[in-house]
Amino acid sequence: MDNFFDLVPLVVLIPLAGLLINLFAGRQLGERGVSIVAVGASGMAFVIAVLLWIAQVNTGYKAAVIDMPILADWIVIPSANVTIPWAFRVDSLSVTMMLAVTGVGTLIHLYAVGYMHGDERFPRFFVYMNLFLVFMLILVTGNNFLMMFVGWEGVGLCSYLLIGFWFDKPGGVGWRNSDAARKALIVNRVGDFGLVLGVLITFWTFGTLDYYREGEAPIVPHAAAEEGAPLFAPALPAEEEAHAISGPLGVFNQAELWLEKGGHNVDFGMVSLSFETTLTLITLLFLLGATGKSAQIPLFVWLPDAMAGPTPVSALIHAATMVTAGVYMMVRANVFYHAAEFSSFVVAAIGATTALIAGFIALGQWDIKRVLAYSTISQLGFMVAAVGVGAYAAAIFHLVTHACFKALLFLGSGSVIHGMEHGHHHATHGHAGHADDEFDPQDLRFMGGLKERMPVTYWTYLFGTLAIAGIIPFAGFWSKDEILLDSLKAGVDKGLLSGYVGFVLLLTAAAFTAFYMWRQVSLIFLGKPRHAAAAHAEESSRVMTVPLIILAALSLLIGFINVPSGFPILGWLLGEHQFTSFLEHSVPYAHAGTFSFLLATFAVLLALGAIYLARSVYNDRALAVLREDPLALNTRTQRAFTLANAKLYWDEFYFTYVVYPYRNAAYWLAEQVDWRFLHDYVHERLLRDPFNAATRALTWRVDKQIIDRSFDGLGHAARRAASRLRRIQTGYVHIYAMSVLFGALLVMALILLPLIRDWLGL
Amino acid sequence: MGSSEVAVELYVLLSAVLFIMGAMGVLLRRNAILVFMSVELMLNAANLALVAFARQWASGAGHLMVFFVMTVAAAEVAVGLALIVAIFRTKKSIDIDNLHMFKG
Amino acid sequence: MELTLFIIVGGIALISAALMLISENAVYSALFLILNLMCIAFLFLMLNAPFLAMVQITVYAGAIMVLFLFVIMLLGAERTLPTIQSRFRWLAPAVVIMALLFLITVSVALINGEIIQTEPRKAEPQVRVVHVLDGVASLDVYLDGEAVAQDVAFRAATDFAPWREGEYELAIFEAGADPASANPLLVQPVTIERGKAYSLTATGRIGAPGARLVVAAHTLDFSGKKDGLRLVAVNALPDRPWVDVRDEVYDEVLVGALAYGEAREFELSKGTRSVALYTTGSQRAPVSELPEQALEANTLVLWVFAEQRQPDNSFTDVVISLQDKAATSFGSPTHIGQLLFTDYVLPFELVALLLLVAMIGAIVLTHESLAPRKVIERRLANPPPGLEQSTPGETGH
Repeated sequence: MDNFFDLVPLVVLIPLAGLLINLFAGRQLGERGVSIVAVGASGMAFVIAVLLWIAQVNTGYKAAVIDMPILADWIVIPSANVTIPWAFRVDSLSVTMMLAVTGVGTLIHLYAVGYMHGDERFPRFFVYMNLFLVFMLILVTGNNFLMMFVGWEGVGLCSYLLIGFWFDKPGGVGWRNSDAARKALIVNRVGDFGLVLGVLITFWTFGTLDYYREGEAPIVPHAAAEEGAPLFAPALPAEEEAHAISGPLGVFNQAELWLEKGGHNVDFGMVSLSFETTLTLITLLFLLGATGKSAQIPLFVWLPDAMAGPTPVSALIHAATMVTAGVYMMVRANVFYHAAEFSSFVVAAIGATTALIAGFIALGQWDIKRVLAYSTISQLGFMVAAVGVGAYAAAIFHLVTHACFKALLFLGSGSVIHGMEHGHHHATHGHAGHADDEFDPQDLRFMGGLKERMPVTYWTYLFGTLAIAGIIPFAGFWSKDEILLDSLKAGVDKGLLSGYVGFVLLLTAAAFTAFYMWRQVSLIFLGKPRHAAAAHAEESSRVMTVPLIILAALSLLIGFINVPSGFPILGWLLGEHQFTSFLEHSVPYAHAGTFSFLLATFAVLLALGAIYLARSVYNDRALAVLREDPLALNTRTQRAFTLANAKLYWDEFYFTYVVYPYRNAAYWLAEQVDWRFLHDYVHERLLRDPFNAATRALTWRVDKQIIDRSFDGLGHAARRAASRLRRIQTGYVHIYAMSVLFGALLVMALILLPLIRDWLGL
Repeated sequence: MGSSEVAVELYVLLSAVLFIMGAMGVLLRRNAILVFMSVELMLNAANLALVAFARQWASGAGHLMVFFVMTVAAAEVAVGLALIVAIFRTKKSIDIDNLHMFKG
Repeated sequence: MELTLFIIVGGIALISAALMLISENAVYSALFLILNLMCIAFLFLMLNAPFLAMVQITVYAGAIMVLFLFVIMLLGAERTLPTIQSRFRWLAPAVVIMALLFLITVSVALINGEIIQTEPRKAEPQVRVVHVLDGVASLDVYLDGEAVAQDVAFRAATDFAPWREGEYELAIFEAGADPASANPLLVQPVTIERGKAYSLTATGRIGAPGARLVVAAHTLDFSGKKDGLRLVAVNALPDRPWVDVRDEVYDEVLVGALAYGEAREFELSKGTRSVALYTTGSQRAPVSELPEQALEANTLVLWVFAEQRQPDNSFTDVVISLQDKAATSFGSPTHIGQLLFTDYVLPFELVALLLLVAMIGAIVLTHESLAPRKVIERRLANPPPGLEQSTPGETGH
């Protein structure tokens, strides 16, 4: 079983192979071949993840670090003591993530085969999807922060590619799509900035980026942490202790050791910070990255716009997997967050606030996918808040359940949209009239009564709704309840303010969740069709509905993997905290929560109450002629609804106070620095003009005046001299003869000069 | 052989005077043929000086030089007179003051 | 006497030159020039250059001046132009000034040039061979491998030939022998100096120990006696080691104790002498006699007292008497010819070539062209604007 661990490179390489095949041979394979390759690759990755899980279970949940053959010495700089190998980590957390990603991913791949049918860039879509899988899996299986960063960036790239997949749609829609893609990338970039800084500081502090080395076990035993025992229990024999402190330990164990020792300082050249402060810094920077990727405040604005992409993309990336990368990262760094209390507080505050605000905004949206987008943000807020209060296992549990039902909801919405488009096409028989220009297949106001027309979609959607609302026995109940419990406990037991505040906020957010989800169900499926398109909508094909059914089943059942302790009957039946126990082996600070009957009942009742309230607001009469939302008509809720509909003017705020100033500054800088200074001044005045002056000087003064004149002058002088000298040639022979004789006389006199001088007496 | 009564300087002086007279003839006369004859006079003066010195130094090379000079003079006279004849054909005059076509 | 002659002839030369310059008639000028050339020829004779005098008369006066006269007649130029003035009026004074300057310079050079003080170089050495070697019919004589005389018979003497000075190896071979391979009969180093005339003699009997080479040198210089002559006596009698040469008439010993193989030079004044050869110390019977020798001034006389083998292998005494003019071959055609064909062959050939070229040139220049020359009009290929094109007659050569 051990050697199953060696299969882990394949989990990345098989989707890579799939995407390469589709990339180069996509056209030839056709839709059928491409879909087989893509779905097959994803499915095989899932199979390998299952094998790894089995191997984990059978080998006592030991973590394994597997080197990849070629890139084993990925970055090695001996002179700077830098060694970052490309190594895969197989432990419970990474296996969990792998299963979630590949499992949900395969189903979504299958769904996408039907959804994207007929698209002219069909192969390219699946290339991008597989690429996304590759990067996501690198992210979750990496053994060091740099590999995680590689995956992080890669999924950001894939989100850009996939959101803007329909960049060439006419009528300005293509521009909207590509704008959304750019927004996603740029906003993520802001978060990535924080992550990179965090990684660099981590490297500087610890000298390495590995989580744990090969064979290294997390230092803190779980039980000791829970019962308040001293944190430090040496996992290594005493004599290796001194060597191990600064030796080749992973990042987390080093941190533990330093925290125990205390007084360790990190020298940053100009300043020297204590280790605790450094950890706070690192965790805050990681948080910044998480807010970007996992769409928290303040960087969540890209997620609603990202709904411009195809629905499978929204489902896979923006519901199930990519957005959970931030949560995964923070859970992976649980050692840091556990130690940095201030950061945990900030994390919880941000998460809870985000959950509430996003839930509020979702109430006022008309686009079906927008509602789900804000819902995703809200649920992510739940997960982040869970991390903030130290409920790492709860966060991952909610991540898994959320992946299932959110994917279900998105795929269901995709099915609805498909049906609406179909119906519209049918209704107008292909001739779209002028009055129908404003028809939007995604707008809730045009839907209605689809319960009869699309029953499978309706029932699966209903399952998803109940799951997300947290109604027992659906999956969402278990995970959401755990989070609420843990946050309350954090407040009660440890006296953390974040616990209390978080609890209240999260509870309110849960109420909102139930309300807007039922609103959506009412508007889509209940009542009478409000538009011809809805009247003619048809159920989607089997290839789309089968994943829906599977996901619906999962939404019902997956909650049972982590029955809290103390739950009657089911706890005995299914085993308590199966999932948390599984996670504990890799997340040292994961702890299980006991069941609080009171809280659970209160939460369920609250959710049911919200659903009832929604049902009463969106009753049949309101649903019949829906022009305005009933909440908008009600004077008391009018203001709130307008705010919610306008997304709390968040984007406008950003534009006014961030984007426009930035852009104006960029324009100004471009104008002043680049054009006026660099181009006009430096290039033209400083460089070009002296150069031109120099060449002109050389050309005119040197070349023309001096050189040309001298050479021409030579010629002229020669000519003038010749014209004067030629007068010597008179043509008369005796003149010549005389000159000859004269010359001879001269020569003679010269030779006889001494004699002449003697004779003259000189 | 032996010293003669007439010193070699007298011969040389005579040769110089004859040379001068020849030079004056070359420069002053306008008839081309007379110019030529003056040139011959100059050559002879030179020959005289050569022979005088040949005896002084008892060298046969002096005689040989005179021999060559005479030969060259003969060649020169032949060509020169041929030129004068050719010029006369076109210009109908041998006044050298009229021969300045090579004026530069 | 010589001076007088010089002055007269020189004067005639000057006067004729002046008249040549002045006379108006070109023919008169030519004739005066001929007179001048004759005077110069005479001066050549006075300067020991007979060959050149001959050449002067023959070539210069005879050929060149005749050519001049032909051309004068041809061109009808006997009437020279009236004035002697040339176009440039400043010419005559300038020429006169130049002439005076020239004369002054020459005079200065002559006076201060110290030509008189310098010793005139001695004459080139002359060499001849006299054969009195018994046992060899005829000889070849070589100086350093170069043949001085070949096939010299017994009792015969060659003429004087000029030779370069230097040190040589005198070798005597049998006539016809190859000097490179055959063994010489006699070998002796000999120095040839300037100012002497050498008579190379081989005396004695070949094979006998007394055979030797005798080099008799005459000094080519008569600065001592006026009307004197130089005599060299050679004792070539192997049986008489010491002899005297006596003048019978004046009963005086001219040359005493002349050893065998010795050649001695002495000076005598001219006159008729009877000379006899006696063994030294005795006046009884003369060995040889030379009666009534008429000795002239300025001659070189050589007396070789030798013996000749008779058919019956007895020897009779003979005397070889040679008289040569002192200034023998300097300036003679022989001398000139020898120089011309040994040292100066290349210039000689070149000058001959020059004469040939001059002849051809003269012919070409005066030749009337066979075809009338066409007027060649040049056409400009790219005439600059404004330049008129002359109408072409016939283009092409």
